[in-house]
Amino acid sequence: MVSSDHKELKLIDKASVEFSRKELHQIRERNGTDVFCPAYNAVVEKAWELDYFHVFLPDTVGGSGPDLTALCTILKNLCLEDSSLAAIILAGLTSFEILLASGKEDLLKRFTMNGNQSSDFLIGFPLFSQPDESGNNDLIATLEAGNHLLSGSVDYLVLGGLAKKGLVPARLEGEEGFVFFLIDLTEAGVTLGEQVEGLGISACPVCDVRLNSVPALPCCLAGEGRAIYDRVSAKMSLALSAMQTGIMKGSFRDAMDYTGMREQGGRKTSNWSEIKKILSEMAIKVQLAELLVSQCCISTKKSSEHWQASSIATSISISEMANRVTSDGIQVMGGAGYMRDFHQEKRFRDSRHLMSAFGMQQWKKLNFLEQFVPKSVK
Amino acid sequence: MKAGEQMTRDLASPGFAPDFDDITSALRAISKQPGTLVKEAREIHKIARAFTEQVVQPSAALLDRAATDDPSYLPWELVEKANEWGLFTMFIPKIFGGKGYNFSCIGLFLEEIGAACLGITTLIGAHYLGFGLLISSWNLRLVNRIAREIVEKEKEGRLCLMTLAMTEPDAGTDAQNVEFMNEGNLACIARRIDGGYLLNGTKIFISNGHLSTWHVVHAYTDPHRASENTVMLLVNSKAEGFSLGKKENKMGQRGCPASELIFKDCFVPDDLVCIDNEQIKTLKRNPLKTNEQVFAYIWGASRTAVGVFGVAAARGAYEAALKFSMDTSVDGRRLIDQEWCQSILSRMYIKTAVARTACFEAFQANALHGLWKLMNHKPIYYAARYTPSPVFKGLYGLLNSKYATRLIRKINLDRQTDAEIDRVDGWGSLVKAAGTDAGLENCELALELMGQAGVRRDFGMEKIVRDARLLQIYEGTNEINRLNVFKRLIKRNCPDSQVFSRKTV
Repeated sequence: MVSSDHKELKLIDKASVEFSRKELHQIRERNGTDVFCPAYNAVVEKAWELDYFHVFLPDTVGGSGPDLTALCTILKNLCLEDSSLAAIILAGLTSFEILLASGKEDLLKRFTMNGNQSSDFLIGFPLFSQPDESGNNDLIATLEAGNHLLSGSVDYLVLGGLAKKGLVPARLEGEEGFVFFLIDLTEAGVTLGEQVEGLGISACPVCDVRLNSVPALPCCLAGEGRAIYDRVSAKMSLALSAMQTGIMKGSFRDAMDYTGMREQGGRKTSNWSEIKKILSEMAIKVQLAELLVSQCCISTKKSSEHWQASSIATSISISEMANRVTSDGIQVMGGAGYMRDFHQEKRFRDSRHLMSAFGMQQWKKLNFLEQFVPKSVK
Repeated sequence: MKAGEQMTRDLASPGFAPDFDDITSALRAISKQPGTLVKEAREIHKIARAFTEQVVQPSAALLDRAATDDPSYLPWELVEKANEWGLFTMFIPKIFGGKGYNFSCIGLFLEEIGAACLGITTLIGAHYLGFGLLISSWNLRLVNRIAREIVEKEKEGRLCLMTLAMTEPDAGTDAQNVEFMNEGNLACIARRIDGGYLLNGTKIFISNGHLSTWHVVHAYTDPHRASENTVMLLVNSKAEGFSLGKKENKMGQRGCPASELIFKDCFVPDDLVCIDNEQIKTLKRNPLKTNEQVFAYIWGASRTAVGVFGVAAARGAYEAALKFSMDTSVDGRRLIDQEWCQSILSRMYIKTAVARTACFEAFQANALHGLWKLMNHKPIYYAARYTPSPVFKGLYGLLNSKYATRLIRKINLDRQTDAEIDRVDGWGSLVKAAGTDAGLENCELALELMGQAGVRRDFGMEKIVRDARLLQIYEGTNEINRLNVFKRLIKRNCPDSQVFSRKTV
């Protein structure tokens, strides 16, 4: 990601930094509150026009090739300034990836090749929970006259309220495991809750959804849901790591700028060894995160034997690094770091919020041994 | 002798062992403790719990919401409710007309409220911070005057809150440590003129600034030698030349406003000067040392209180995680029934309990040697508690005399030893850093455990995280407080070392 000399990648890198600085920096200034910001629609559509949703998709569905490195580069650069757009892209692409992994290319084309506005092409997804985590998802699918009907609730549907469609995991009545279903969020039996406000990524729309006998299209066979989710979440966890890396980089950059200007005891604060130590530790973590993401991109592209384990381990570790870096980013700026005017506090909130993408951090850690280590040892 | 043997002997050096008195404040306080203090503590705890259940819990999220929707929002309703409950006079000694609850029990009060809302506990705590700073000047006449105004207004259903005004736009740490003052960018200038001082400058991040009647302001008669030319002035919010600037847009603790105070040719008459070099010239320490001592008095108390805020954050996060674990099943079993989750909850409980115990030790250090030493002295404690209020009225004249202030300063400033200053200030910093770190660590654990429930606003945990993050910053960053622990509690074991010095950069 950082060391690539690929010409096209360099252009993507430069263009996304510029987009982030021009589009997101400005809207970040305006979006002073935590309330969902409708102005973000325009930014999402610009990102669509610039193919930020397509770089990761194969050309058979209108994409520009499944380039994970390009996607990670874009997401990292967007998060230098603001993470909400990247979170929208992450949720949208996770839905797309699940459709692809389920062999639903034709269905996916309807979204990727025909959408005119963000609500047409985006598909909502419950990004912040494991599909079998109780309390977050108790959807049941019943079969009536050959059609599946979904009833129950989906908590925290990301892009809910913006996207017209949603991709949700549900249990088939009387069967184990779960299946992904595509639903129309404008159907009569769908009740969308109010926008759920959260700790971070405030411009990324989220809502709770209640379904009452809503027609749904199954996207995979019974029993396939878990394997598809594990594969897709491992891949998208790498994109999440890139986002956290961008957040860390932005936090470090602003901390350096501030401590290079601010004086304490007649000297620049960056010259005091305690502050230097903190800044150095931040820099080490940023460097390490970039390296890990780069290596994982290579490993995933090559479909190396342990790519899933590497991606998940990287994501868990980088999220913890990002939490530390963004907290330090506030600390070295003192009171200013805590004030909304300086945007460091936003990174603190965003990194913690994103840590819970694809489920509880502690649960991800606990499952790692069972999911991946036997394969690695073998 | 081999190198290894030399090393073993050096490491066992008794010179590095902590001083007995430095680690036994709670133990040494036992015999000096008034017997009814526990009963009093129970009363305080009961009041705090009732206020939390009836007022804080129903309004915490609403305050946060209101201040998010409208950054200029001020929590008047909440403050008036706290005033009706008598919370702003609870810890004002009876001799000054207050309810006279003992300051060493304020931790129980603050933790109870803070576990439900750190913004509201800061709002109430900041009032006592202002009052505490006024006390640390040991200007009895002014303490008596302001305390009585607070009490009288409370009786009339009106508000009279106080603030401490220290931080400046270009001077945070510089304004808190005498070592940094002379080379810092302090710009709040008090110029001596006939009958008082003319005050110019700006203070920022002042908790309760927009709500308060009285501001205790640190200013400097010579900013280039500020460490020995500091004055403490009382400014009324209606004073000519005083105005309120912007209200800060904070990440959390949004129920407690952080304000900008602006002084433009603001005249402060002599009778509102809490302490200046003229008033301390008969004391045994020089102006720099006295200034440092006054800071130590207030930091010893206020940083201990912030340590308690940290305990409250740790407890709030623990309670949220516990509830979530009881309500949530993963893999077909409730989290609370899974060993790994029990271990995390226990870690959170341990962090909370250890930090609370450390704060108790610091409160006892304050009770033995710090801000409320006199009020904990048994004869004074019992006299203050059981003497009918009308009797105190007969003491007004005495309290207002300059001789009483001179005497009380002799007792509190001259008789306090350097070791006692180190202990009180050192323990204040110790528990401030330990308590607030524990608070944020528990928040991180709760977020890791709770997943999406932890980050959504309607579950409440995310507010605790936003609120708790401020604790590691105000009352001196934890970095500064850790260095202050070195200065006050470690440096004596390596006397040739430097701290808060350009040489340590």
